[in-house]
Amino acid sequence: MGDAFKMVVLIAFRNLVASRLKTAIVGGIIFFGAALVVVGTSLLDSVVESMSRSIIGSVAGHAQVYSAKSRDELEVMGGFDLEGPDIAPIDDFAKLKAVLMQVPNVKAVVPMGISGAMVTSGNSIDVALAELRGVVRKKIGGDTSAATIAAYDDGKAHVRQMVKVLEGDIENMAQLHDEKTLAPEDAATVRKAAQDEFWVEFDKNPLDSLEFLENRIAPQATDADLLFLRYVGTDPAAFARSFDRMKVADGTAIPPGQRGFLFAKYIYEEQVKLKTARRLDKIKDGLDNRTVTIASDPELQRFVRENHSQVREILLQLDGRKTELFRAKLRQELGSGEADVGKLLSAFLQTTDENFARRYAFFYKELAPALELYRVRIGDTLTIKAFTKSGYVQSVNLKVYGTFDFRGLEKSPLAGALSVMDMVSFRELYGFLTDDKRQELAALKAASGATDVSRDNAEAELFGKKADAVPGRVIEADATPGLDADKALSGLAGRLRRDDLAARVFDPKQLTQGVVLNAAVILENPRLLEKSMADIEAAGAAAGLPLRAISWQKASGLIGQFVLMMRMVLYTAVLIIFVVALVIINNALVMATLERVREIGTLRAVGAQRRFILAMLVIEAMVVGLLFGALGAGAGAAIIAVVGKVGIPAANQIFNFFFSGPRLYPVLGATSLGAALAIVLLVSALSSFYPAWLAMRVTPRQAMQSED
Amino acid sequence: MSRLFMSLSIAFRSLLQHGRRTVFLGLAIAGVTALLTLLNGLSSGIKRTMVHTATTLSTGHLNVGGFFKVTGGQSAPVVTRYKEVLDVVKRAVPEMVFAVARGRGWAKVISDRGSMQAGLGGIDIKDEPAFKDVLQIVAGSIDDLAQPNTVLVFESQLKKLEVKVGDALTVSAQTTRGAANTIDLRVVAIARDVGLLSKWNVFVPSATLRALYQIRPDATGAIHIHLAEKDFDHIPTIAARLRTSLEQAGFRVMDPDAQAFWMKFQTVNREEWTGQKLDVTTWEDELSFMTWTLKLLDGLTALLMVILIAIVITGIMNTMWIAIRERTREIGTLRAIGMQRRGVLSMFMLESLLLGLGSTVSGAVAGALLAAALNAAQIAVPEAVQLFLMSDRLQLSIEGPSLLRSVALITAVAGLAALFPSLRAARLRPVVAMSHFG
Repeated sequence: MGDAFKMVVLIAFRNLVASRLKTAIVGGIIFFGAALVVVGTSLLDSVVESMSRSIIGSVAGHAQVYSAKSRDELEVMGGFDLEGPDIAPIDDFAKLKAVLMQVPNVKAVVPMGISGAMVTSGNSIDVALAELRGVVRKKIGGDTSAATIAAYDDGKAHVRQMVKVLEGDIENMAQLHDEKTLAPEDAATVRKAAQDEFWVEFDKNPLDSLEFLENRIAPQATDADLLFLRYVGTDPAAFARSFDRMKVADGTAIPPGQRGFLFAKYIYEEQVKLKTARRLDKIKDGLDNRTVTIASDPELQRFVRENHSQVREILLQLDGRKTELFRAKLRQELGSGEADVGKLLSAFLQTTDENFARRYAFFYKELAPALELYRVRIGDTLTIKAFTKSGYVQSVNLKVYGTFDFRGLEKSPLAGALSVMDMVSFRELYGFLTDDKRQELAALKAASGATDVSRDNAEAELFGKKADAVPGRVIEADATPGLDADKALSGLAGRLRRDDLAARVFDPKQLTQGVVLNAAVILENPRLLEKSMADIEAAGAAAGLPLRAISWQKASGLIGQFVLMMRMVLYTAVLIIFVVALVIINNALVMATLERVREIGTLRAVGAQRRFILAMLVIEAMVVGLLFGALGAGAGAAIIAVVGKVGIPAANQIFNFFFSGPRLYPVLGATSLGAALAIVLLVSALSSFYPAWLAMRVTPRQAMQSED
Repeated sequence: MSRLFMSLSIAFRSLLQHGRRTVFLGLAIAGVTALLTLLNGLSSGIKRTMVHTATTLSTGHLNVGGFFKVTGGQSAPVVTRYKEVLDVVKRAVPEMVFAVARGRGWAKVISDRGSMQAGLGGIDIKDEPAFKDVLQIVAGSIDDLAQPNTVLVFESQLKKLEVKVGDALTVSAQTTRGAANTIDLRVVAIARDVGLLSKWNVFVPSATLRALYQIRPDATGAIHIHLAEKDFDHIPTIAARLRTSLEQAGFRVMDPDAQAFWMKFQTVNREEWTGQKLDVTTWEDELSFMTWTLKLLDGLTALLMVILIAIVITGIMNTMWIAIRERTREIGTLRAIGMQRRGVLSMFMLESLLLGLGSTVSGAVAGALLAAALNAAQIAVPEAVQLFLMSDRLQLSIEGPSLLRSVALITAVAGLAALFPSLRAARLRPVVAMSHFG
């Protein structure tokens, strides 16, 4: 047996060398196929790996748990719209946590709620008025130093300028808005504030005039910049503990018991930073890390164009003194005699590959210190307005304590998509009402009796949540309640109320108890994910708390599914390629066999059994497969090794997202190698069966007779 | 003529003689053609659904939209005094089949049992006969949309809203002045889904949309211009012409920017101007956030095809080499009885071309049949794929020209692959060839 086998292998090898053309064709296809499988699956696995690190490490945990009564499936990432899916709330997190912690393999549970909202960065007129008010107080307090008087005059001039702009805005508004919805008295108040008499009066009675401006003029200004933010409401301490790669990048963490907001660093840079500066950063990143040039890359060209044409954002920040400063500096830098700062800036930002490095440095060294680089500074108060589940607008003021990112995932748009706020504020924005709040609402409704909808709604704050409220039974608010009650608190009163709330502390217990939407589960051993998910659902059912547990991949919504689909596409392509290859190889082998009919006949004549012939041909094919397959897999591995060193630059935003960063460093997976070899062996074995079967049927006589 | 006929018949007979080989190779070529047909069908199916869906729901073939800025930092997607704009459009675009004015908005839609965010389309149903033809109404009547404070929703939204015809819905939105405003609506019609876009769109009467945003009666969101199919290829030219005409008529027009209108807010808000600016866009611009899937699919198709064609070329060359070796004596004989080298060359080329043509045609037919079967089967696809396909069903669209292109391409490839071996056969000297054994 051993000898026969040796002989078969020997003959097989000799034949390979003898018919080089066939070997080359079959081997070439197999080589290529194996390399493709190795490169393709390694790349895909690396994408999945980098995405899963981003998703698991930033918010999803290994599994997500939510109420089985929910109408939608939970998605913690990648929703198309601001609102999250429709998730039934879980009334008591303490109970949920107790149930989950009993499940073996569960390491930590983090309470969560995910939603999104529009955020206003504050009217500039509000800011100007607040500053002026400060100066007025000082002045009334007896401070009559030259500096205060100058600041008073500056502030007044600034506000007056703004009122004048507002007058123009009101005219524009008339072109857009239906006259019936425009209250004529609004326009009249603005006109009044623009007149000289008003400002004479202002000097006599500054506090009353300020109140008039704050209550009647400021609400009409609409220049607040809108941000769209997605955030997760959570227990900030538990969040930081469980997602241990999280680190505070700027500022501090949210102190225990305080309401607060932490920006995701990525979002902070992307959305809050001065757009001009952000674009300069991106151009630099492109030049340094992607080694493209402004001259050749359309994306960088767009950044330059936008920087060049959108200088308004910077100009708005320049008061008289800074305008002078910028003019002098830019004139010197550009060697230009231009007087208009806007034009100077525009010329300065017309960057090319040659001057970019110098201008970038100049911008950050000379200009940036005089600019507010972020619209929302650390320590500012952020007003978040969200549609509650039932559709009315709820707003909450939160202090921005800082920004955070995740170690190793700093540049991942996926990991940096969600900002963090305390759970108590989240509940309020999401529109959970407790029993006593509901009664309060009913009382107010009855009291106001109004049915028309006031356009003050946005200014209006529904009801503050008393910080010391006992977390009672929580219900979701009815559809459209309180729309008519919104009038109750408007304008200044509403604002004061919110400020007051923002400063209040709450009982830290509210974070560990009370209503949550979902919870992230961190496991001891992530490999047991499937089993743990089943255990969690069983434990929930046993405790009378119907739960649904989903893996991080499912929780990441469309992103996770996208990965699955990419895998499907790759496998289909590989399948198709190998099916076609199978046919072609088979064809080549059939012909090679037919050529060897005489040889086979001779072998048979000298005593070779049919089995021997079959084995010979199959082994021949397998040897080719194995040899070229191994070579191909090796070539694939080499490609991955080289690419893994250099990294594949993300060509655009979409790839940035899939690579979970600016570059993908693929690693070779052992499974890809194994899969490649297995597929190749299978294909070569399958493709050799038919020709071998043909050869097997050759009889010695027939073969010796045949001419060719 | 008879010479050609003879060559053809020789080629055909040779193919028949080596039946097994022909069948295998033919199958591979046919398979590749069928695959190419299917993938092209998928791509044009997606494109067709996209155009169809989008031109019903959110864009015309050409649009005049724009932004109105009350202050420097805020913009509304509104065209004021749109009738005047429409007059210019009518003069500048004689190709126009019809044009409609649609309101644009984004709001929270709330029912008794659920809520969702949705794009609001403001529509004057009386002026839009085509809209009625395109939508399939499942319940209610689309004509009721002429009444004030009514709404049309799509089937897929029922899951979230749980409403039926006659139920009340509330929409809540922020006006351009930053205040929230709400309006109560009555569901008058439920329509069958039209692709993925219908998941996020509801329609209300234009007047209702204006009331919600408190804008003037002479303002609308955008003018959708619909063109005849023959003009689809020169939409960019028409857009450029329209842009010039609008500027000449005294309107301020934004620079072309191939993005959907809602992606432009960030840029527009940062520009200094106030008042009205118009923006001329094409349907492709408005869907730019989706067309990348199409590009990805086309890229994948091209890549796969290159690989497969390389494999097929290898297969054909291999077969030809062996055929020539087998038939060396035949070639010698033919040459000896007077056939020219060119004759030998064309004989082998013809053989390969014939094989290529036969199998590509049958492959294309098989692909088309399979596509028809897939369409008929109405296969539902998972959500991630829906995003890719723009539709909740697998829809392939087989188009004559692209089918012919595939057939021509692969047949040409088959011919080319045979060129080199055939040249070698033609170079054989009769004496050598005739004395060849094996």
